[in-house]
Amino acid sequence: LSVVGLKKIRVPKEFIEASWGTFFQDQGIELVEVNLEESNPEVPYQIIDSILPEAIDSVNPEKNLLLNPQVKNFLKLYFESGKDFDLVENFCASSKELFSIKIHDCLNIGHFIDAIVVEAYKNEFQVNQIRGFLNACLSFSFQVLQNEKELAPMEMTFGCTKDGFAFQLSVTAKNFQFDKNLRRLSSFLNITEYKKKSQYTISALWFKDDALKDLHMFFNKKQYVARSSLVNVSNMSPVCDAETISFDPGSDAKDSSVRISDSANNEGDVRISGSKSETDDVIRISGSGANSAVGNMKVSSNKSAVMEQQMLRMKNLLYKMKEELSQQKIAFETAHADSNLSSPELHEKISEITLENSKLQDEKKYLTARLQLANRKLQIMDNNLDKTAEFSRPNPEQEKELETFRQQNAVLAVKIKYQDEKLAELEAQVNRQEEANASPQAVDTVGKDLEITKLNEIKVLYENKMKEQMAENKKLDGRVKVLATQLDGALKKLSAPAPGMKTNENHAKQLEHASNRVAEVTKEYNDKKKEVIQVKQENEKLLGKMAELEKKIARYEKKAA
Amino acid sequence: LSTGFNFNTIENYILSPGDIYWIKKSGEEVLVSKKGEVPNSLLIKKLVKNEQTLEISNEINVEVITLLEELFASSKKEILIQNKNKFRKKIVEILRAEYAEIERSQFEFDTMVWKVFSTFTLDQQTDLVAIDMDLFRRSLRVTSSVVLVAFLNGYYDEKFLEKLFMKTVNLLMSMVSAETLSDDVEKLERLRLNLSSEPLMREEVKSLFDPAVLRSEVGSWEKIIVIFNTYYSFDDHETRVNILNEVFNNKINVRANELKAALSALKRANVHMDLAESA
Repeated sequence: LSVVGLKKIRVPKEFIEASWGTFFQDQGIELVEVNLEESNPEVPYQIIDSILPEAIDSVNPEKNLLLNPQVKNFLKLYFESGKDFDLVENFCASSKELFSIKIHDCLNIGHFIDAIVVEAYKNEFQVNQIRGFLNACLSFSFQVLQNEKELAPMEMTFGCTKDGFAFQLSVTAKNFQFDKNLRRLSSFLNITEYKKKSQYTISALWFKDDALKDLHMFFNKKQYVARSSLVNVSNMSPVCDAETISFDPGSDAKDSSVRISDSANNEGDVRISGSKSETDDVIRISGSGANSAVGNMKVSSNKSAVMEQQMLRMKNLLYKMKEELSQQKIAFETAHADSNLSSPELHEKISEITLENSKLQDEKKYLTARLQLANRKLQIMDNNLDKTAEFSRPNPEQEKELETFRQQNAVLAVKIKYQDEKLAELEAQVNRQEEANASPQAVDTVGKDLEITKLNEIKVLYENKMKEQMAENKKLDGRVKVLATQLDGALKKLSAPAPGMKTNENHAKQLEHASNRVAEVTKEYNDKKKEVIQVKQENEKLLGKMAELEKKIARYEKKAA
Repeated sequence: LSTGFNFNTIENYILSPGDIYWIKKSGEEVLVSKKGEVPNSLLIKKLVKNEQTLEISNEINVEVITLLEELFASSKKEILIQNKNKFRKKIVEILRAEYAEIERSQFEFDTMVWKVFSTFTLDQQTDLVAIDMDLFRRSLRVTSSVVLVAFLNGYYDEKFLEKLFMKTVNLLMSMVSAETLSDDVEKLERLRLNLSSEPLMREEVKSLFDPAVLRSEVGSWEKIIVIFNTYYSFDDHETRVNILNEVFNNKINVRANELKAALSALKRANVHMDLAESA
């Protein structure tokens, strides 16, 4: 079975020598030693296509949890999928329903955890561990996200098969510190970091099988995004050119005899970490799992004795396994010997042909599209041609039709002309009215005329009102003046010494009387003045006449003399 | 002809919701705004102010849009997902009955999504439409499909959906430059059909058509953008049935979890979305 997947993984030296290293090597994964002190964790690591053996024989599966068929199948899936590994989609491929949840805020976490746990409960999983994991995972993820400027929604997917419950969470965050406690809360935990996108995917799996309840595997992948990220939307192209993996099986240091160092995880998680002191011990592969599966082989006081026992057993097991595997390998090789002989050349040719083929297909696609386009254009042109041809043919019916069309056209032209004129007229009217009336009005002339007359009426009304008002004002003015003079007169009178004590009423009466008197006096005065003037004028006339008469008299006197 | 439409609300429509006629006193009918075109809001408001008779025909169903607007607005006010889901349930029921199960046009659907989620100012709207009408119509078509399918995929924060709306419209409108518009559109169409790899095209524009995104580890909404940007053609001017109807009746020939999730959300009569969206 040829699959694309991970062929090499980076591990510390102890790992290679340890039996769990052998386990992976036996599955076709090449382990490359990495120096723990290596300072640059970003050295791109080439992932090559690999061929994994079709099946791995399980020898004595109850001894080693990694050899449990479920676990083995799962690991195979993991390494086959390589960088495209998506726990929920890959593991639950056979399941009818996958679920996805988007979370925008931390206020509703509980609700969604409940939803997931209920789903696990319905499928008869042990929910306590799952709930514990989700609580820790989500609350710590939101702690991480609190520092982010723009909160991108977290995306969760989950689903299950009859064997396992899978959960995956994607978080976008710049500073992500992994919470190590999470590792004890699931059978399998994988954290993938997409470095350049600041994205983290946390995948967790729980096996239903009670025998596997102490299995805790931890993988940590780093993927470096090669292509530039998309737009400002956010980063969209996660194609990775490098990947490292760290593997940390069986992590519970307290209740098992095995102590596994966390150092590698703390400093970059690039490497596989194993316990340095006890690497050659077989038990550690199965980690804490061995304790339950084999039957509580807890090592506390008689630690070494039990360990030795286990070691022996595992070594035997391993030996058998290796033997069988090598037999298989030989069989495989002989079976494929023929085909492999000429394979390099053949492969080259095949790849050449495939390349050419794909090129040709691309070209074909393009050309077909062009052809379709051209055909469409041609069709349209044909149609047009047909139409013109039909029209140009002297056909009495068509001629008639044409005539009617022409007539209609003529009518339409007239109509259009009429409309144009009307429009021009309307526009002119609008312009006129807009000039006359600063406020914008409807284009409807009738309404406008009406409105103008209305306005004019109102204007006249207002003018009349204003005239009335003015007249009244004048009257009032006059009255005020009269009152003022009366008051003046009264004041003059009042300022004169009053004879004896007088009440206010008397004052008022006196005032009235006085003002009346004043008015009378003024009138008399005016009349007298007029009389005086008249008399004066008459006087002057008379004087003039007298002068004339005197002159005449004087002339007559001269004559007489 | 119907007169139930409130012409004062015309400003809220980026594209005219129907054919709008001005009935003059002489009985003459003048087409003021054609359906699907940018409406002449100024003239219409002036005519309304002067108590002129306006009529709309061939118009979209405004009641449904108003109802959905109200429901989304009510949901936006809620914080707890349980309360939001009460509105979500109603919204999905309406979407199913009014869009998925009947052949309402995509134009109506676009108008609805625009009215619910757009926060563009009038100036921004004018600028968008000025770039190119056809490109704008397509962008709106893609965006409205993206936003509602994202909603059906379980995104529940209305503010996020609004942002997604704005972002997608702007993103799609910025794929071309004004000087080389028709050239660009042609290139984009070829890119969409995967006919050639345009070396001159910007990387970020390419990735909007990149099927590899669908297999990658990104948010569903990013995948949904690529799905619909690849789905809608650039020279498709025909009126088509709305996207929910296409999804509901399996007319859309794209295999993606996001579309499956939208379908199952639409199909579920008794929404158990308060748990999770099944994909």
